[in-house]
Amino acid sequence: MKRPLTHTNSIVRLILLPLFIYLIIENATAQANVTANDTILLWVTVAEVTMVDIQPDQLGWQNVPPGSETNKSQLAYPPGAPDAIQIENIGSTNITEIWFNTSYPSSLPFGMGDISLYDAGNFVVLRRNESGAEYFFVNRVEYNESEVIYLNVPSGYAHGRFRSANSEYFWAIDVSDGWCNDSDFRIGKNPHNQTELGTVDLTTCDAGAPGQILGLGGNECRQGTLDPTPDNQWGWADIYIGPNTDYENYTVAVYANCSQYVRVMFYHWNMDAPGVADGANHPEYFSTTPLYPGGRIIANIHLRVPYGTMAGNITGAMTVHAKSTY
Amino acid sequence: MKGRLWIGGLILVFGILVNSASAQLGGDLAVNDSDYALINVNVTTKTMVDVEPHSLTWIVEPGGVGDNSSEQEGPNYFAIQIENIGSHNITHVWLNATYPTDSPFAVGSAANTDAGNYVVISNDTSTNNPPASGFYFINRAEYNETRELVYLRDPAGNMPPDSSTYTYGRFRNNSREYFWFINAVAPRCNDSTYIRIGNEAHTRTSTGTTNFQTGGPGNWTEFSLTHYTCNGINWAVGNITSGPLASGTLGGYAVAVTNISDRCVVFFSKWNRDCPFDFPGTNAVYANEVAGRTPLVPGDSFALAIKVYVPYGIYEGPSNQGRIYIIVNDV
Repeated sequence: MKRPLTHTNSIVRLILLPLFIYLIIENATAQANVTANDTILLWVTVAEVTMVDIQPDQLGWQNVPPGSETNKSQLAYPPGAPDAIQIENIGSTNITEIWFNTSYPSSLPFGMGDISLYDAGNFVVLRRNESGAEYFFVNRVEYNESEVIYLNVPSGYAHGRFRSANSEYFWAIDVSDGWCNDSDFRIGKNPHNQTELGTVDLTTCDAGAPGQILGLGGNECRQGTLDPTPDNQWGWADIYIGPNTDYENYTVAVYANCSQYVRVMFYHWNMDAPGVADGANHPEYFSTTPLYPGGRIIANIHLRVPYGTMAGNITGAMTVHAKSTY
Repeated sequence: MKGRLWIGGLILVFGILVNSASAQLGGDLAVNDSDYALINVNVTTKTMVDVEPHSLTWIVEPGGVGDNSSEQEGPNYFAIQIENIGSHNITHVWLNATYPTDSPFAVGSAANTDAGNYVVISNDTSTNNPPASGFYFINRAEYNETRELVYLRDPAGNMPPDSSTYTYGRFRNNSREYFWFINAVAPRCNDSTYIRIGNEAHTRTSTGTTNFQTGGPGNWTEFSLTHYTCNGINWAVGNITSGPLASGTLGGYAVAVTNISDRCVVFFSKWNRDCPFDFPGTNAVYANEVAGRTPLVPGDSFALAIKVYVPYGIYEGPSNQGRIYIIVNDV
């Protein structure tokens, strides 16, 4: 006799069946050795730090004759390295601007017979690692010199040279009142070297507006009045150096007190120099494309060693500056 | 869970506060960093010299002086500047001028002329036209006279001179000419043991010393010559230590006698220290020493005043271009 399916029986069956199924599943799971997972969230706030690294941190050239520009074969340290430096953003912010400073002599080294007066930083020229890019001095500093008998400058003017390897451009500045931040500044268009006299008559020049020595007329020299900086410590002007058909853009800055000597800085890659903040147009940041953290750029580097540089070892330093705006 | 949310909110609030403070400090927050590379350069030892200006031109009358007022290239160049553009100390600087390879006189053209033989140098650059007392030839070459000078009397008393025993010529100092005699003849000019030089100049208006007879009334001075060999050439050399050729600020000339072809030639040097003027005790000088630049260090320079003394009897028009060489060494 078949037992009738009571309601109680039905409930028991409904309970037991899942239990049975559960037991089966539990047994099967234990046999697969399943690991339990859980997840935690990690977070870090990286500090906003601008950091820059320049490598190699030491460069050495050997066997460089005076009146020449270095080439790769003369780069002795690091051995086998290209004549270039790499600038890397090792910080955490986007670097938006990069520029340089170089060391320079504190007085005229030429004709002194003391090699310690020279500074290799004053020889440094850089260019962007781009096709067709030109080399420029970061900031070359020159001082006035004693009489050059074949040079013709107006009365009351001191004179010197912009020395770029085997090219020397004579310049002259009015020092008659011992104060040079608003003086007339002149520079020859044609370089002087061992075989060419260059421009030596600075009496009649192409004139420019204040703060501009940019004449491209028919005279053999350019002239213009320096623009004083707001603190009156320097005078500056944008300047072309070279012939009308092949000139380089620099800005010249002259230290105001020229009663004892004249200190003249020709700069292109130095954005700390006098005149930059006052509207000089020729200085450039070496890079204005954002350099992301971990990113790097290359700068080609040469030295332009002037005539009259004493034989032996000369040292100097180049500093790269990085700026991040956020 | 509530605790985590609260901490997150606190950080957010701090972040806002920091940004607000930065903005209040003046707009964009500029963060700067710098790094540096050491630059080393080893400059090779190289001896180099530069002389400027490269070219000078004068327009001068015969017997005249070319100075700053007649110089055309500058115009008005009055000096040359010698600069050490190398990297090594220069111990000695001296000059060497070109000269005619045969006498330029009485040939009917400028063919034998050489402007280098006219050049005189002084270390006095205090003015654009320094006094004549400081100027000396670099190495003036004077060939003996070939046409008999009937008014000269030789050391033996012969007038005209006995050309088989003596050779004679002139030291031409622009408008002043000083006759000289040596006691040898070509091709054995370097056998001379002395040179007699007149103390009185021959000019357009004055005969000067013409009597060189021993014991005679002539006003001359004799200077001993000794044998000297250099670069395989035999010379008779000596110094002029008195008289008008030794009256300048730097004293007298060094002289050297030899023969070129069939003629005797006497060189008068003050600024040339090359052979044969490098003989012991020479009166020739190093230019940098005279200028007080010993050694001449890299980048240093000094100036020498320059003129040309053009003798009488030089053919008109451009003389052949001459050169003066600046020679340096380090010891």
